[in-house]
Amino acid sequence: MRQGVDVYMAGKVVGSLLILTACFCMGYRLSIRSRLRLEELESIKSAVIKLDSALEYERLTFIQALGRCADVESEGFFRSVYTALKNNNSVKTAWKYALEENSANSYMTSEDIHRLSLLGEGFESADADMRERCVKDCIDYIDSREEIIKPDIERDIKLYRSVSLTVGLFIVLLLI
Amino acid sequence: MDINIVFRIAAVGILVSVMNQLLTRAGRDEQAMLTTLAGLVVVLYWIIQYISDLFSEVQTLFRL
Repeated sequence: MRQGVDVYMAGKVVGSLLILTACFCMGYRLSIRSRLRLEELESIKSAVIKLDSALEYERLTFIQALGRCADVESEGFFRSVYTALKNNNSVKTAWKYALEENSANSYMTSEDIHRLSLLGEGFESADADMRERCVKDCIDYIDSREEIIKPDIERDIKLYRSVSLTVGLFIVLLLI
Repeated sequence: MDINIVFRIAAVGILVSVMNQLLTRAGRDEQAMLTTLAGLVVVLYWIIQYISDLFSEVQTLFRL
């Protein structure tokens, strides 16, 4: 009888720990989302700046310049575009393919992806002024996102982690 | 009536107030209010049966 009660209590303790761990893991994942989004945007910004300078000053072809950007981010959006262009796709098709491939695993929002697609339209165009405008718009957009996201990162991390732990405790209390 | 219900209600109250404070300080007042409401609903769900029993007892006692 006593052994049965001990096993029952042990099961409750293990279940409670599992619930708390699961809630904390979910909270942790949510808390780092903003920081990862910021890192992705910064990576794209540095790649765009490198691409633009390679096209503007070094007068490289688009695919050569993209090869330089693909080195900035070891795996990601620009590498996907570069790989697709090397397979004889057009800029539009390569850009679209890269967006579809990377958006699922990305922390970027739908607005970020929309801005990235507008950048693709700029590069597809042969007009240098339009390309410059699109690059400038993209960099300004990323700068504005950085200004908004950076102050909130620390606060969001603390908030999500503490709330997730509290929710876990709440669920444990409901089920005990 | 089990004494554990009192401790559980107290624990829910503490947790709800902690979450309320965290969310309010983070500027998420609506989520804070929803958390408070959720805690209230949970506690009411636990004690509704006891309230019903209380009313039945009062009715029986005063032959109403």
